[in-house]
This record gives sequence, structure tokens and C-alpha cells, in this order.
Amino acid sequence: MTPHARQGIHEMGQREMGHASAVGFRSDGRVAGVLLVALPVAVTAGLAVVGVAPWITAAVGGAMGVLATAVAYAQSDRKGESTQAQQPQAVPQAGAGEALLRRAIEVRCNERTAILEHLSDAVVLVDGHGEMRYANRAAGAMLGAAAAVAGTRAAVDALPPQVLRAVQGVAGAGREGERRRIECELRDAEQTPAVVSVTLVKAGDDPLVAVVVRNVRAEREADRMKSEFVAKASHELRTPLATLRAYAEMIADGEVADEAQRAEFARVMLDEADRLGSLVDRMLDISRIESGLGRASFEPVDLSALAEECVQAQQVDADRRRIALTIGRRSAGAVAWADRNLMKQVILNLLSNALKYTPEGGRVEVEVDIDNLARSVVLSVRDNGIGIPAHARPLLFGKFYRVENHEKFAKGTGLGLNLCRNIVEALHGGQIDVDSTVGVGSRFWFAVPLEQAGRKAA
Amino acid sequence: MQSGVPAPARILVVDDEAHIVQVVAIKFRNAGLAVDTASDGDEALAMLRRGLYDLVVTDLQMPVMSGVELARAMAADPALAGIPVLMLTARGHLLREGEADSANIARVVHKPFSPRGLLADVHELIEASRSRGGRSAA
Repeated sequence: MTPHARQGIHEMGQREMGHASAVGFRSDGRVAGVLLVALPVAVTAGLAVVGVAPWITAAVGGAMGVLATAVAYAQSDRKGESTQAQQPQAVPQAGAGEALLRRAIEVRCNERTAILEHLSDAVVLVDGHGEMRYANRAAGAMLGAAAAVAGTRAAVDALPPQVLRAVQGVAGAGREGERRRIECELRDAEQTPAVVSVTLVKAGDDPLVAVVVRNVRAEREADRMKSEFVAKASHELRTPLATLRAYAEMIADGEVADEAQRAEFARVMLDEADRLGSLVDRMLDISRIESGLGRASFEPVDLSALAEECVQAQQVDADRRRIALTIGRRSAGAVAWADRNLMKQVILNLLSNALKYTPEGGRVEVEVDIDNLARSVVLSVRDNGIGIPAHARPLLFGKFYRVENHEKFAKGTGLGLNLCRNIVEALHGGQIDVDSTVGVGSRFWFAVPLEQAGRKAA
Repeated sequence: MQSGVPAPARILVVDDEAHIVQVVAIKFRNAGLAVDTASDGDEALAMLRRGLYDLVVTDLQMPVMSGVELARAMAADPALAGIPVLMLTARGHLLREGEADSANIARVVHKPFSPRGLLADVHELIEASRSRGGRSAA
């Protein structure tokens, strides 16, 4: 460190605010730079040096550089002594330095306040009297507007009793960093599930306790959906398994009347084994796509031709249910950049759904259009079936979701539309949706990029 | 009771899974029971009101009417309230709270099930029902 620099270092302690700072000066009295603003965790327990920032400033056209390290002092009175005793010569520059320091502190404070204010977690700082010292914006939203009024007990009163007990507990513990974690429901109308962390941030006569409240509704919902998925999946898997198990036992117990019955049993078992297999495949397909492992083999796919192929494949089923399955408008050049097999899977799925939920004698029509604006091919399957109530539409593409009472019409894996959405949206960057009127019918449609648009994106 | 051998017990098997209905019916008929089948609760209720049955074996999750709804409808009908119901379910856990409150649900059997075991359950339930004064003992 050069003597110039040593001489130029001015240290300041801001007792009330709990800040320690060091500011480097050049010998001509002009400020070279702020070296350090430390925000100690606790003033009473002794100042901690939060960071030491050595500044090396090359003076313009000169030989002088300022190298400075800052040390924060445990006691501000000690600091005062040292400042006066060791560096009286720095005092004349204090005015300029202080202004700069104040500005620096302000910037840091604003940064920290901004971070706290924009947290999605509620942060409430409670003193030893149970009064709120600080509450961020999220606290107001989560605990009620009154909770955000400093110097009152409103924030504390809005907390669930087990959290209040934890606040008292850590305040009395006397060890900084003492923390409790509580899972509870907030006292709001929605009984928001929350995880609350209660930490003693300052011990002593006037303890300060930080209460951080995290809304875990989304996580709880995800957990619930996961266990619901497992429950539903096991139900779907048990059904074909039950048939396999029962028929195998019948054969083993010699309960088959003749060869014809034995052959029939074997056929049933094969069908059910296939059903089980396709259910497992579908579950795996979805989980592969959702985990990002699913891949599509892109090629130009003429969706009009593919739609025709799918309509032919479903014609037997349609005839059996006396449903007029037709292909309507087909735009020329409706060539998508897509995975042919996956597209076929989606179309067949939409067609089989339409046939399932359209009463006998109804009609199902497939159309293929080009959306020039969105550079997409749009395939739609329109039926005059039972329709889907508005509340069910957002849930329709979820896993194992069945519109209430629709189970009466047909059984399914409950995964078809979810797989369709995964294929169209996650793998092809397209869109799938439904327009529907109860009692009138539904139009399921999906859009995937046109060949040229898709190639470019790829 | 009429003279001679007692009439075979009559069972109504209800499931929308045709394969299950078929295999259960064959198993029961091979054991000398009289079996009728229905593919949903509405059809089952209509048959129950037409004929005399000793026992109903029904799936829980079916279109139109669940097995529990069928049991409740039976319990609400004095003519059918005494017929025990054996519930088959592919749900991994027991019936939800409030679902098994229908007193006529005599037993719950989980899928996949053993037809042999199911037949033993049916014999047992019919025996118990007859000793309480069910249809065939009347």
C-alpha cells in the first residue's frame, strides 16, 4: 500500500445504521472510489466484515494508485477513537466522503429492499414485543393489508398459532440463527397451505425474529396430482390384469368346456395383454415427453393424406356405431413438418374419441386447413356428439381426467388427450384445443407448423 | 320350501367389462349356480325387480351407475334390501369413507381376483344369507 493511499483511507462507522465503510481518496482530495460498504448482521454482537473489496485505481497520467482494504470495527466508539487518533488528516475530506458514503448506503439499502419487496414469499420482521418492524409486499397480500402496517401486532395476529409459538420459542432461545420450520395453513379464507420458517436474526434484550411464509399450494397440488395419477394408473392397470388373472386361473383349474372355449380364453388373454401393453406404452410415452427425453423424427407429412388413411382405419368402428365418418375440406399442400407416426397417433385418438362420444346415427367430419398467418396446418375433428361443459375444457387434456358422467358413454385410458397434447405442443411446438357446446357437439383441432416454417425453426 | 332338491342359488353378475362378466358367469355355472348378467346398474336394477336373486356380484366403477349407487338403490327398495352385494373393485384401496355405508355391501373383493376365491366367497355369503332367512330358506 502506498503512503498516499494509506493517508487517503478514511474509515467511517455509521453506528445507528449498523454500517461500516471505507472510502479511498486520492491525495488531492478527490475520491477515487468507495471501497466497502458492509452491512453487518448484528450490531450489538460485534460487527462482521461482510466483504473486503480491494480497489486498485490507476491514476490518470500519474503514478499514484490507491490500494485499500477496509476493516470494520466491533465497537463504533473504538472506531471513533481510531478514526480521530490515527487519521486526523482525513477529516477535512469527510464532507465529500460522507455524501458519497450515504449515497452508497442508500443504493445498497434500496437494492435489499427491492429484493425483499419482490420476493414471492412473505417476510415479516417481528420484535420482542410481538410488533411488526417490517413486512414486505407479499406479507400484505398473504396475511392481509393490515399486516403491512409497521409497529402493530396485525401481522403477528394474522399468523397461525403454531407460528406464534415458534416466534416466542426462537425469541427466547437466545441463539442467533435459531430456526423453526412449520407446515401449516394460513388463516385466510382459502386456508392457504404454507411452509413457514421462523429465525432469530438478532438475540438480546430486543430480539428480532424473521418470519418467512411460503405459499405451497402449487407444490401441494402437484403432490396431490402425482398420487392421484398413481391411484388412477393402478386402477387402469388392474382392470386388464384382472381379466388375465381370472382367465389364466380358469384354464389352470380345467374349467374350460372344450377346445373352442380354450381358444376363446386365449384370445381374450392376448387382447388384454395387448391392452395392458398399450396402456403402459402410453404412460411411458407421456413420461418420456414430459421429462424431455421424447424425440420426434421430423419429415414432411401430408396431413390430408394421413387424415384420409386414419378415416379409413376407423371406418369399421364408425359403421358399427352407425356414425357417418367423413373427410371434408382438405387444403392442397397441407404438408406439415412433423413426425408421421406421432401425427397418426393424434389423429386416430381424436377420431376414436369423437366416435365414442357421438350417439349412434351421428356424424364425425375431419377437415384439414392451412393457416397462412400462423404458418400452420390445422386438422380438426368435428362431431355432433354430447359436447363438453365449459368447466371441463381446461382439464380435458390432463391425465386420467374424465368429464363427469361421460364415463357412462365410454371407457378409455384417460391418457389419450394428454398424450395428444404432449405430442402436438411439446414435441411439435404446435397447439391443440377444443371448441364445444353441450348437446351440440365438439370440434377438436390441432395446429402444427407447415413444412417450410418447421424446417426453418428446426 | 318345495319338495326335493333346493333350487340353485341365483346370482346376478354386473360389470361393464364383458370379459369379467363372462369368466365369472362360467365359473359360477360350472359350480351349479344359476347366473344372470348385466352390463350396468340400470339394467341390473330392472333385472332384480323382475326376478328373485340370492346375491349380486357387481363392479364398483361402471358407467351409468356405480356399484355403490346400485347397492344404495337396492337398499332403498324393500323388495331388494335383503339381497347381499359383493363388490368387485379395481381401486387399490378400500372403499372411500361413506361408500361402504350401505349395509347390504357384504364383501369387497379386489381386482385382480381369483375366480376360485370369488366362488368360495359367494358360497359363504349365500350360506350366511340363507341362515338369516334369505330367499331360498323362505
